[in-house]
Order: sequence, then C-alpha cells, then structure tokens
Amino acid sequence: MELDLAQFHDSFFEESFEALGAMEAALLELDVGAPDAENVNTIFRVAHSIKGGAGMFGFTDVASFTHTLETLLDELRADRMQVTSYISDKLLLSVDVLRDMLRQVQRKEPVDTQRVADLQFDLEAIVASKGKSGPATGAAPAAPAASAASAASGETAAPVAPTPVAAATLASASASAPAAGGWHIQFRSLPQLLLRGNDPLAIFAGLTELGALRVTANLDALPSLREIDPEQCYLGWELFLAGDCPRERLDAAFEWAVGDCELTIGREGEMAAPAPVAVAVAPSGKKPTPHATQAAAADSGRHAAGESSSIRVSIDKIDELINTVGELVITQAMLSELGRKLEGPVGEQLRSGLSQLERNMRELQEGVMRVRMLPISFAFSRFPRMVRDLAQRLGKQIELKMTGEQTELDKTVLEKIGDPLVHLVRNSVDHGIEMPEARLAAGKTPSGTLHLEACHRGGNIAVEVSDDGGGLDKERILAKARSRGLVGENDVLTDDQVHELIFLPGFSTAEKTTDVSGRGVGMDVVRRNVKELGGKIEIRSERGRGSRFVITLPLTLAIVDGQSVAVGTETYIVPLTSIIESLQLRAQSVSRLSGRGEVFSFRGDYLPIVRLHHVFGVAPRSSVLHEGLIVVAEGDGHRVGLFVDELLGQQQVVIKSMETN
Amino acid sequence: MSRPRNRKRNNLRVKIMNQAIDSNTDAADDASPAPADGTLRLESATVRTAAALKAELVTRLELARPVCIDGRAVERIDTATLQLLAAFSRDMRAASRPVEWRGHSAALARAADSLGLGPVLGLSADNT
Repeated sequence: MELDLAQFHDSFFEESFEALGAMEAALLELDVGAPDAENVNTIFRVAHSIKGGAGMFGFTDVASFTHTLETLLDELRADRMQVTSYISDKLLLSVDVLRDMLRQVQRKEPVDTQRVADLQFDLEAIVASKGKSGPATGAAPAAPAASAASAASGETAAPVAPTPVAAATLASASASAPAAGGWHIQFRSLPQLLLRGNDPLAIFAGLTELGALRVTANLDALPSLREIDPEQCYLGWELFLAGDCPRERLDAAFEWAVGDCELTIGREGEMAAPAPVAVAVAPSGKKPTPHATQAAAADSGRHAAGESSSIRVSIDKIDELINTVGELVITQAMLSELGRKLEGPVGEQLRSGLSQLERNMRELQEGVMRVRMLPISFAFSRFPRMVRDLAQRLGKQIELKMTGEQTELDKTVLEKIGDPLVHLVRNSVDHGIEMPEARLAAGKTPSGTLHLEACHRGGNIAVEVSDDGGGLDKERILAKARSRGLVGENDVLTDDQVHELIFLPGFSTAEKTTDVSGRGVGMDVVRRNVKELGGKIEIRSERGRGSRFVITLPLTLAIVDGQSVAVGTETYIVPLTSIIESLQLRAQSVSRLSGRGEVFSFRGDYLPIVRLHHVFGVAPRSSVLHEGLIVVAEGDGHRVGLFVDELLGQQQVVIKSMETN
Repeated sequence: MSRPRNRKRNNLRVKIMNQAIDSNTDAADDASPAPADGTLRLESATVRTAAALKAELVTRLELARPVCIDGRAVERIDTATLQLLAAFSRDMRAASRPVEWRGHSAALARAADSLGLGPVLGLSADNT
C-alpha cells in the first residue's frame, strides 16, 4: 500500500513547495490590521492542502504542524482574531519551517523537531491568547509543545527515521556503557551548519566539560579563500575525548547539530582508522547526501524514480558542451570560408551542405545557451522577504516594486549578480530611504519605494536598483574624501566624479555602521563583481529625490554574432548587436563641425565619423567617404559612423579569454 | 535561509554582536589614526561580519604586501571567522607569504585551539 502512495510523493512535494511560495507571497502582501480576505483564504488553503496531503502520506509531523497552523488561520479567516505584525512574523516563520520540514522529509532526513515544536508552541499560544499582540507568556500550557515534540520524534509511521544520526550509524555501539579508553568522534559539518546557528566552538566547549579534549581540524574540503562562502562551514574534525563520560552526554552535546553534520562516535581504538570521512563537500556548495547510512537503507528505487521530470546536471558539463560548440562554430566558419573558394559542381554541393550545417549549428548553439539561461526572478525572489525584514528592523516603511522578472540571463551571470544586488538593495534600504518622519518632513509619503527592474537593452541586460530616498549626499562624500586625502582641498569635482568616490575600497560616510551596511566594504566589491562579468555600473542620484544604480551586463559571455568588415587588406568584426544600420554616404551629407571633426546627418542627428583605417593604422582602399560604407554602431549610449571599405558577411564569433586559451 | 535560527533553543549559541572587523581603511571614522603599515586590526567578529572580513582578506591576498594581523582586541570570535582566517593563512603560506601576528588575545588563541586551528593559523594558547 505504501509503495502505491510513494509514487505520488514527488508531486506532493512539488505542489507543496509551490503552494508555500504562494503562501509566502500572500503573507508579504497581508496588511496588518486590515487583511484582504482573499489573501487569508489563500494562506489557509495552502496550510489545509499540505495538511491533507501530509496526513494521507503519513508525514505525521508535517500534518501535526499544519494542523496547528490551520487552527490559527481559521481564527483569522473567521475574523475572530486580528492579524498583528507578530502573527504575520510567526506565519512567515511557519513557511520557512514547513519548507525545511518538507525538504527534510523529502530527503528522508530527520526533521528538526525542536524548531518545529518551538514554533508550534508559539502558534498555539497565539490561538490561546486570542490575538493579544506580542508573545503570550505563561498562560499558554506547556503540554501541547511537549506532546507535539514527542509525537514528532517518536512517531514510527513517519517515513523519516528521526533517530539521531549518531545512534543510527552506531546502533551496535554499547549505548551507555562507560568507555574506558575515551571516545573518538568524527565530526564533519555540512555547509548549512553555521546558518542554523550551530557553532562547533560552542559544541566543543560543551565537550571540554566532559573530559580532556584533543581536536584536530581537517581542512581538506576548505576551498581557497576566494571561493569560500563565509556563511558556510567546510571543516571537519577528529576529536578524542578522554575519560568515561556516558554516551548519552555526547549525543546531547551534538543534539542540535544533527542533520547539519556527519557524525560518527565510537570508542577510541574501536573506530576505523581516521579514514577520510566522506569528504564530498564540494566547494560550490553542492550538498552531499547527509547520513549516507540512512539514505542507503531507504528504498533507493523510490529515490531514483523521484527525479524523472528534470535532471540536475553539473554546470561543468554544460560549460564543456558550450566550449565544444564554440570550437564547432570556429571549424564551421573555417569550412564555409574554404567552401566559398571552391568552384564547380562539387563546390556547389559542398556549399549547400555547409549552409545546412550552419543552420543546424545555430540551433545547437542556441539550444545549449538556453540551457544556461534562467529568469532573473531567481535572483530577485529573495528580495521581498529581505526588504521586509530589513525595513522592520530599521523601523522604515518600504514598498518593493519589481519589474521584468522574466528577463533571462546566463546562469553564471545570474549567480554572480546576486551578491552585488543584495549590497545595493541593503544600501538603499539602510542609507537611501529615510525614516518615515524624515520623509514626511521632506514632503514625501512616509513609505519609501524601492524599485528593482530588469530589461533587455541592446545586446545587454540592464538591472536597476532605484529608490526615492535621500539620494547621495555629495557634500558629505566630498568632505569625507577630503579628510582622507583622496581629494585635494581645492579640487572641484563633477557630480560623476563625486559618485565615483563611493566605489573606492573602504569608503563609507555612514555616521555609524550598522549590521546592515555602512562598513565601507561593499561598493568596491560590487563594482569588481560587475566588472568581472564584463558589465558596468552607473549611478544617478539627486539630492532629496533618490538614487538609481544601473548595472549593465552582457547577455552571455561566450558567443556573439558579428559582421565582418574589410578595411584595406584587414578584416575586422563588429558585434551585430551594436550595429544599427549600414549605409553609403552621399558627398553632400558629410560636414565638418568645429571640435567634432567629420559628422554626417543620420535621422535628424549628427553622428561623428570614425575612420577605422586611422584608428588601426591600415592603408585603406579609398579614403573618400562616399566610395566606402558607413556602419552606424552604438555603444555606451553613443552612436558613431564607422567608415569601412566594404561589408564582408556575418559570422559567429567565439570570445575566449587570451589568458586561459 | 540566511538568518541564524533556533535562537530560542540555545541562546548560548547565537550571540549577536554588532561589533565587527574594523580594518585600517575604515578606521578613519574613529579618533585613532590608521596605522600606516597595513596592519589588519581584528575585533570580535561573527558569521554576520564574515562576508566583510572575507572581502578584506581577499584584498590583502591580492595585494602583494606583507600582512600583519593584530588580534589583541578580539574578545569573541566564531567558527565562520576562524575558518576564513585559516583559509587566508593557508593560502598566504602557499604563496610563501606567511601571515605575521602582532599579538593576539587569549580568547582568540583559545578559540583557535578549541577548533584545532592553532597550527594553521600560527597561533597557540600556550604562547600568549
């Protein structure tokens, strides 16, 4: 019977995660005090359907938690209680907890029962106190939480084995007999350990109270400094605890870390030699299967069946593929070039074959590139929550607007743009948007607006972070730069030059640094990250009106379509995306303007003419403008006419770094 | 997923400190003038300030200058920070530019020792 149901597990998880996303979105839109009935209904429905599914599949702890959640939501829905910000916080937290719980159940990991029980206790307390704002204290009975915890951990029907790992891996080890020779502990943290608030320092400090402790760290999985995610833990340890403390006390010391680490505890000498304990923590943060023993014990067939609709492919494999396609493009261009020179019927056949090849090649290339493209909403999705939390902490009112979330971007670009965006958003929330009182005094609405926007612009993606806050304070920036000797006392700087200053390493004008931002470590890193992607960042700011940060990024880093042009005996390639059109000039449309050199009129505008043969120092076939061609090209918001001898053809160009190739 | 959780169940574990690293580039905010020799002054630091510290260390790693860390002001430190320092020390050593310590607090040495990172950091509780 269970097997029959198991085939529906995956769709249950999938739907639940999706529903939780909807629930989170609805919660973020929920107005404290005057909730929209439809929103509350959406939230209720999510909790209700997860409860139903979980109950059917025997995920008892999920069902029990959602039941409590549902009870509270029912009170809200029936208007028997008011939504306070405390309640809305707890509901958001419930989304997090449910999501983690479902994930743990899905991976057949033990559920973090304590965390669930804590929150469940809070939710029950809210219902019990019927909506008095603030945490209900004392009055709420302790029993529900305790029983919930025991129900969650002791339930045998649950498909997860919520036994602590230590016990699972060493079931045979004498559980409580005092160990004569001390204990040998192998402890390797999983990446998320620190984020869960578990610090090995605290755990080990607890161990030293049990006996003399000897610690050796294993740094094998520690990536180079540059690649470290500072919030993840990559270390492993071998610990030797002398004395004969009971096993239970050891288990208790590691209790909270269960699920976030790989742990083996044995008597000293009994354990396998300090073998490399599954050092599979990839630096990229890929998650090794925790508790290998449990996973193996679980039905592996079911596991495999669950991942049919999509597969996870390492990005290396895709990059290898793209690289190969790049090579193919080069080879194909070379063959086409050759085919053009071949005469006779064979040449004709070859050419038609080659054009077929070119078409297929283009499809292949587009297909491969599409694999890497993801909508920018992946990077944006974290912001509603982040802005809400930050605003709440800082006591500000902020409305977040997002547009163009469906704009697609290369995965590498997308990953690297996340951190800079976080910096910019934090900056805007912390420094840009003023406190409600200050905004009112300045004649603005008390609530500030933060706008995130992504769009295609030419061959580029533009991502903008703008706010209607106070804007950059030029005087303060300048004064700060002067005091640090970056700018001379009497130098006069343009606005742009002043804005440029905030990109200097360590530059901060914040009067007091907060834990949100203002440390002066940031904008320089933002710029460096953006530059590494071949993009640029611009600032537009107006005192009192707000500021706008525009990041311009290339769509992809690998292959561009190019127009090859001839100048004298040389061939140059202009990216097609930057070409507006090509035209032949009439002698009378060219004029000379003082200070701008040669210009020609183009759609009501005068564009400067750049003679490529001058720039590259090549002898042209003709230096008379109307004998050659003008390619109107655009870059950095400026348009120019490039003077070339002739247009050759269109070609794909593979861009490769000179360093690595 | 980016906030430390479970505060309730063990408030010993997550001590939120708003103090953080304060490198010489930022020190102009204080009354004390920035040391001219590029010493990295380390103060109590936590997982929340680790990203800033990382950026700082990466910069130091890139600048081909000797690096000296002053750890005398550290009162509290956590694994995230020590892990960064360990990677930094290791990478610097690999580049034949060992890190020099301009003193360290007992708390720093004790924490490094508890995690078995004393050797890689070149710190030990014994030689305070």
